[in-house]
Amino acid sequence: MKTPEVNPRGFFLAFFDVLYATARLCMPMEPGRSGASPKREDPVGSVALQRWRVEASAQLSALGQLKHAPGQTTLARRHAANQLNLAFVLILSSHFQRFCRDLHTEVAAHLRRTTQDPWAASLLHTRLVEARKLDVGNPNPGHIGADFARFGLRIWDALLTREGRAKVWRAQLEQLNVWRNAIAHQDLSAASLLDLGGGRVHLRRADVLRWRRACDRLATLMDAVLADFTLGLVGAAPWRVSSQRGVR
Amino acid sequence: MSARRLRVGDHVHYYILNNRWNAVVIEDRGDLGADGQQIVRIELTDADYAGDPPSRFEFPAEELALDQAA
Repeated sequence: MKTPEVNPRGFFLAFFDVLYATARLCMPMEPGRSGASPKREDPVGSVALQRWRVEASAQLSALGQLKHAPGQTTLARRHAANQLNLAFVLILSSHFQRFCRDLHTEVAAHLRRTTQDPWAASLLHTRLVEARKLDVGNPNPGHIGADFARFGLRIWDALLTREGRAKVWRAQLEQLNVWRNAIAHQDLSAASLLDLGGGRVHLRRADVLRWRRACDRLATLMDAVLADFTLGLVGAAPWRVSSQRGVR
Repeated sequence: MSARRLRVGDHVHYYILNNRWNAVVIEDRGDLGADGQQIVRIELTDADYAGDPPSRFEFPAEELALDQAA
Protein backbone atom coordinates (compact mmCIF):
# COMPACT_ATOMS: atom_id res chain seq x y z
CA MET A 1 0.00 0.00 0.00
CA LYS A 2 1.31 3.43 -0.86
CA THR A 3 2.00 5.87 1.90
CA PRO A 4 0.81 9.50 1.76
CA GLU A 5 3.34 11.74 0.07
CA VAL A 6 3.82 15.44 0.14
CA ASN A 7 2.71 17.67 -2.68
CA PRO A 8 5.61 20.16 -3.28
CA ARG A 9 3.33 23.22 -3.25
CA GLY A 10 1.61 21.99 -0.12
CA PHE A 11 4.94 21.27 1.47
CA PHE A 12 6.20 24.80 0.87
CA LEU A 13 2.99 26.34 2.19
CA ALA A 14 3.27 24.19 5.29
CA PHE A 15 6.96 25.06 5.59
CA PHE A 16 6.21 28.78 5.52
CA ASP A 17 3.43 28.30 8.07
CA VAL A 18 5.90 26.76 10.48
CA LEU A 19 8.54 29.38 9.60
CA TYR A 20 6.07 32.16 10.32
CA ALA A 21 5.09 30.62 13.63
CA THR A 22 8.75 30.21 14.57
CA ALA A 23 9.49 33.82 13.65
CA ARG A 24 6.60 34.98 15.84
CA LEU A 25 7.95 33.02 18.76
CA CYS A 26 11.47 34.38 18.25
CA MET A 27 10.39 38.01 18.53
CA PRO A 28 12.27 39.98 21.20
CA MET A 29 11.23 39.07 24.70
CA GLU A 30 11.27 41.20 27.79
CA PRO A 31 14.81 42.18 28.81
CA GLY A 32 16.60 39.35 30.51
CA ARG A 33 14.12 36.71 29.45
CA SER A 34 14.54 34.12 26.78
CA GLY A 35 11.44 32.01 27.01
CA ALA A 36 9.37 30.63 24.18
CA SER A 37 6.16 32.48 24.92
CA PRO A 38 4.93 35.43 22.88
CA LYS A 39 5.89 38.87 24.13
CA ARG A 40 3.51 40.24 26.70
CA GLU A 41 4.13 43.94 26.25
CA ASP A 42 0.53 44.60 25.26
CA PRO A 43 -1.34 41.66 26.65
CA VAL A 44 -4.44 41.45 24.50
CA GLY A 45 -5.58 37.98 25.31
CA SER A 46 -3.77 35.38 27.37
CA VAL A 47 -0.43 33.84 26.44
CA ALA A 48 -2.41 30.62 26.24
CA LEU A 49 -4.60 32.07 23.51
CA GLN A 50 -1.61 33.48 21.63
CA ARG A 51 0.10 30.08 21.75
CA TRP A 52 -3.07 28.42 20.55
CA ARG A 53 -3.40 30.83 17.66
CA VAL A 54 0.23 30.70 16.58
CA GLU A 55 1.57 27.24 17.39
CA ALA A 56 -1.55 25.11 17.15
CA SER A 57 -2.67 26.92 14.03
CA ALA A 58 0.71 26.39 12.34
CA GLN A 59 0.83 22.68 13.12
CA LEU A 60 -2.75 22.02 12.13
CA SER A 61 -2.38 24.04 8.95
CA ALA A 62 0.80 22.17 8.07
CA LEU A 63 -1.04 18.90 8.47
CA GLY A 64 -3.90 20.19 6.39
CA GLN A 65 -1.50 21.02 3.55
CA LEU A 66 -0.37 17.45 3.10
CA LYS A 67 -1.63 16.18 -0.22
CA HIS A 68 -1.57 12.93 -2.03
CA ALA A 69 0.99 12.07 -4.64
CA PRO A 70 -0.23 12.22 -8.24
CA GLY A 71 -1.02 8.84 -9.66
CA GLN A 72 -2.24 7.26 -6.44
CA THR A 73 -5.20 4.98 -6.72
CA THR A 74 -8.53 6.11 -5.33
CA LEU A 75 -8.27 3.51 -2.60
CA ALA A 76 -4.79 4.68 -1.59
CA ARG A 77 -5.91 8.32 -1.58
CA ARG A 78 -8.91 7.48 0.56
CA HIS A 79 -6.76 5.52 3.00
CA ALA A 80 -4.20 8.32 3.24
CA ALA A 81 -6.92 10.93 3.76
CA ASN A 82 -8.44 8.84 6.51
CA GLN A 83 -5.09 8.47 8.29
CA LEU A 84 -4.53 12.21 8.07
CA ASN A 85 -7.94 12.87 9.59
CA LEU A 86 -7.15 10.55 12.48
CA ALA A 87 -3.80 12.27 13.06
CA PHE A 88 -5.51 15.65 12.91
CA VAL A 89 -7.88 14.63 15.71
CA LEU A 90 -5.00 13.62 18.01
CA ILE A 91 -3.04 16.81 17.38
CA LEU A 92 -6.09 19.05 17.71
CA SER A 93 -7.07 17.48 21.02
CA SER A 94 -3.53 17.73 22.40
CA HIS A 95 -3.21 21.40 21.46
CA PHE A 96 -6.56 22.22 23.00
CA GLN A 97 -5.50 20.40 26.17
CA ARG A 98 -2.38 22.55 26.25
CA PHE A 99 -4.44 25.69 25.75
CA CYS A 100 -6.73 24.80 28.67
CA ARG A 101 -3.78 23.95 30.95
CA ASP A 102 -1.98 27.14 29.99
CA LEU A 103 -5.05 29.26 30.62
CA HIS A 104 -5.54 27.63 34.01
CA THR A 105 -1.87 28.17 34.85
CA GLU A 106 -2.02 31.85 33.93
CA VAL A 107 -5.05 32.51 36.10
CA ALA A 108 -3.56 30.59 39.04
CA ALA A 109 -0.28 32.55 38.73
CA HIS A 110 -2.23 35.81 38.63
CA LEU A 111 -4.14 34.89 41.79
CA ARG A 112 -0.87 34.01 43.50
CA ARG A 113 0.57 37.40 42.54
CA THR A 114 -2.47 39.26 43.86
CA THR A 115 -2.49 37.43 47.20
CA GLN A 116 -0.61 39.59 49.71
CA ASP A 117 0.57 37.07 52.26
CA PRO A 118 3.37 34.87 50.83
CA TRP A 119 2.33 31.80 52.82
CA ALA A 120 -1.29 32.11 51.75
CA ALA A 121 -0.23 32.78 48.18
CA SER A 122 1.94 29.68 48.05
CA LEU A 123 -0.69 27.49 49.68
CA LEU A 124 -3.47 28.78 47.44
CA HIS A 125 -1.41 28.37 44.30
CA THR A 126 -0.35 24.82 45.16
CA ARG A 127 -3.92 23.76 45.79
CA LEU A 128 -5.09 25.36 42.56
CA VAL A 129 -2.58 23.62 40.30
CA GLU A 130 -1.88 20.32 42.04
CA ALA A 131 -3.18 17.13 40.40
CA ARG A 132 -5.27 18.85 37.77
CA LYS A 133 -7.33 16.69 35.45
CA LEU A 134 -5.90 18.58 32.49
CA ASP A 135 -2.35 17.64 33.49
CA VAL A 136 -3.02 14.04 32.62
CA GLY A 137 -6.40 13.83 30.92
CA ASN A 138 -8.16 14.89 27.76
CA PRO A 139 -9.62 18.35 27.45
CA ASN A 140 -13.15 17.03 27.65
CA PRO A 141 -15.88 19.25 29.10
CA GLY A 142 -15.86 17.37 32.42
CA HIS A 143 -12.13 17.80 33.01
CA ILE A 144 -12.27 21.45 31.98
CA GLY A 145 -15.22 22.06 34.29
CA ALA A 146 -13.52 20.30 37.23
CA ASP A 147 -10.22 22.16 36.94
CA PHE A 148 -11.70 25.63 36.50
CA ALA A 149 -14.13 24.94 39.35
CA ARG A 150 -11.08 25.22 41.65
CA PHE A 151 -11.33 28.95 41.08
CA GLY A 152 -14.98 28.86 42.10
CA LEU A 153 -16.03 29.25 38.49
CA ARG A 154 -18.73 27.21 36.81
CA ILE A 155 -17.06 27.64 33.48
CA TRP A 156 -19.65 26.00 31.27
CA ASP A 157 -22.44 28.08 32.81
CA ALA A 158 -20.33 31.20 32.26
CA LEU A 159 -19.55 30.26 28.66
CA LEU A 160 -23.20 29.53 27.90
CA THR A 161 -24.34 32.76 29.51
CA ARG A 162 -21.93 34.72 27.38
CA GLU A 163 -22.50 32.85 24.13
CA GLY A 164 -25.42 30.54 23.44
CA ARG A 165 -23.55 28.70 20.68
CA ALA A 166 -21.17 27.36 23.33
CA LYS A 167 -23.65 24.52 23.86
CA VAL A 168 -23.00 23.29 20.32
CA TRP A 169 -19.23 23.76 20.66
CA ARG A 170 -19.26 21.84 23.93
CA ALA A 171 -21.02 18.92 22.23
CA GLN A 172 -18.47 19.04 19.42
CA LEU A 173 -15.61 19.06 21.93
CA GLU A 174 -17.13 16.02 23.61
CA GLN A 175 -17.32 14.25 20.25
CA LEU A 176 -13.73 15.21 19.41
CA ASN A 177 -12.51 13.64 22.64
CA VAL A 178 -14.52 10.46 22.16
CA TRP A 179 -12.81 10.11 18.78
CA ARG A 180 -9.45 11.05 20.26
CA ASN A 181 -9.72 8.21 22.77
CA ALA A 182 -10.91 5.75 20.17
CA ILE A 183 -7.95 6.59 17.93
CA ALA A 184 -5.35 6.71 20.70
CA HIS A 185 -6.46 3.35 22.09
CA GLN A 186 -7.23 1.88 18.68
CA ASP A 187 -10.73 1.03 19.79
CA LEU A 188 -13.04 2.09 17.02
CA SER A 189 -15.66 -0.48 17.92
CA ALA A 190 -17.97 1.74 19.97
CA ALA A 191 -19.96 2.78 16.96
CA SER A 192 -22.77 4.33 18.98
CA LEU A 193 -20.35 6.77 20.58
CA LEU A 194 -18.63 7.53 17.30
CA ASP A 195 -21.83 8.22 15.36
CA LEU A 196 -21.24 11.37 13.35
CA GLY A 197 -24.86 11.66 12.35
CA GLY A 198 -27.25 9.26 10.67
CA GLY A 199 -25.20 6.29 11.80
CA ARG A 200 -22.09 7.44 9.93
CA VAL A 201 -18.91 6.33 11.73
CA HIS A 202 -16.40 7.23 9.03
CA LEU A 203 -14.49 10.40 9.81
CA ARG A 204 -14.52 13.06 7.11
CA ARG A 205 -12.36 16.11 6.69
CA ALA A 206 -15.40 18.31 7.30
CA ASP A 207 -15.80 16.72 10.74
CA VAL A 208 -12.27 17.55 11.89
CA LEU A 209 -12.48 21.07 10.48
CA ARG A 210 -15.76 21.60 12.34
CA TRP A 211 -14.11 20.42 15.58
CA ARG A 212 -11.18 22.73 14.97
CA ARG A 213 -13.53 25.70 14.58
CA ALA A 214 -15.34 24.70 17.76
CA CYS A 215 -12.04 24.59 19.70
CA ASP A 216 -10.99 27.92 18.23
CA ARG A 217 -14.24 29.57 19.28
CA LEU A 218 -14.17 28.01 22.72
CA ALA A 219 -10.58 29.19 23.22
CA THR A 220 -11.53 32.78 22.40
CA LEU A 221 -14.58 32.60 24.62
CA MET A 222 -12.75 30.98 27.55
CA ASP A 223 -10.06 33.64 27.34
CA ALA A 224 -12.67 36.37 27.67
CA VAL A 225 -14.65 34.62 30.42
CA LEU A 226 -11.54 34.03 32.54
CA ALA A 227 -10.41 37.64 32.14
CA ASP A 228 -13.80 38.89 33.32
CA PHE A 229 -13.99 36.36 36.13
CA THR A 230 -10.53 37.25 37.45
CA LEU A 231 -11.31 40.93 37.22
CA GLY A 232 -14.41 40.40 39.34
CA LEU A 233 -12.53 38.21 41.80
CA VAL A 234 -9.42 40.28 42.55
CA GLY A 235 -10.08 43.58 40.79
CA ALA A 236 -7.47 43.09 38.07
CA ALA A 237 -7.54 40.97 34.95
CA PRO A 238 -4.35 39.14 33.97
CA TRP A 239 -4.75 40.21 30.35
CA ARG A 240 -6.81 42.56 28.27
CA VAL A 241 -9.68 41.36 26.14
CA SER A 242 -9.98 43.31 22.94
CA SER A 243 -13.37 44.94 22.53
CA GLN A 244 -12.89 44.42 18.79
CA ARG A 245 -12.51 40.71 19.19
CA GLY A 246 -15.66 38.72 19.11
CA VAL A 247 -16.23 35.04 18.65
CA ARG A 248 -16.69 34.38 14.98
CA MET B 1 15.89 33.02 43.13
CA SER B 2 17.61 31.19 40.31
CA ALA B 3 20.24 33.10 38.32
CA ARG B 4 19.35 31.36 35.11
CA ARG B 5 16.29 29.98 33.40
CA LEU B 6 15.29 26.70 35.01
CA ARG B 7 15.36 23.52 32.99
CA VAL B 8 13.83 20.09 33.32
CA GLY B 9 15.95 18.03 35.73
CA ASP B 10 17.18 20.96 37.80
CA HIS B 11 17.13 20.36 41.54
CA VAL B 12 15.61 23.30 43.34
CA HIS B 13 14.29 24.30 46.73
CA TYR B 14 12.08 26.89 48.32
CA TYR B 15 11.23 27.99 51.82
CA ILE B 16 7.95 28.50 53.61
CA LEU B 17 9.02 30.30 56.76
CA ASN B 18 11.92 28.13 57.97
CA ASN B 19 10.79 24.98 56.24
CA ARG B 20 12.89 23.98 53.27
CA TRP B 21 11.17 22.05 50.51
CA ASN B 22 13.25 20.19 47.93
CA ALA B 23 12.04 19.47 44.44
CA VAL B 24 13.05 18.66 40.90
CA VAL B 25 11.82 20.49 37.82
CA ILE B 26 9.78 18.11 35.69
CA GLU B 27 8.32 20.49 33.09
CA ASP B 28 9.05 23.97 31.79
CA ARG B 29 5.60 25.49 31.32
CA GLY B 30 6.91 28.62 29.64
CA ASP B 31 6.41 32.27 30.51
CA LEU B 32 2.85 31.93 31.71
CA GLY B 33 3.31 33.70 35.04
CA ALA B 34 2.40 37.22 36.04
CA ASP B 35 4.42 39.70 33.95
CA GLY B 36 5.74 36.88 31.83
CA GLN B 37 7.52 34.98 34.60
CA GLN B 38 8.69 31.47 33.87
CA ILE B 39 6.49 28.80 35.42
CA VAL B 40 7.82 25.32 36.02
CA ARG B 41 6.17 22.15 37.21
CA ILE B 42 8.01 20.57 40.10
CA GLU B 43 7.91 17.31 41.99
CA LEU B 44 8.71 17.30 45.68
CA THR B 45 11.62 14.99 46.45
CA ASP B 46 11.61 14.99 50.23
CA ALA B 47 11.86 11.59 51.84
CA ASP B 48 8.85 12.40 54.03
CA TYR B 49 6.73 11.42 51.08
CA ALA B 50 8.28 8.02 50.39
CA GLY B 51 5.55 5.62 49.41
CA ASP B 52 3.01 8.32 48.66
CA PRO B 53 2.08 9.43 45.18
CA PRO B 54 4.52 12.15 44.13
CA SER B 55 3.34 15.68 44.82
CA ARG B 56 3.55 17.65 41.57
CA PHE B 57 2.50 21.21 40.99
CA GLU B 58 3.48 24.41 39.25
CA PHE B 59 5.67 27.06 40.81
CA PRO B 60 7.03 30.45 39.70
CA ALA B 61 10.68 29.99 38.79
CA GLU B 62 11.63 33.27 40.44
CA GLU B 63 10.62 31.86 43.82
CA LEU B 64 12.80 28.77 43.46
CA ALA B 65 16.50 28.52 44.26
CA LEU B 66 18.71 26.27 42.22
CA ASP B 67 20.64 23.73 44.29
CA GLN B 68 24.39 24.29 44.18
CA ALA B 69 25.10 20.72 43.16
CA ALA B 70 22.85 21.00 40.08
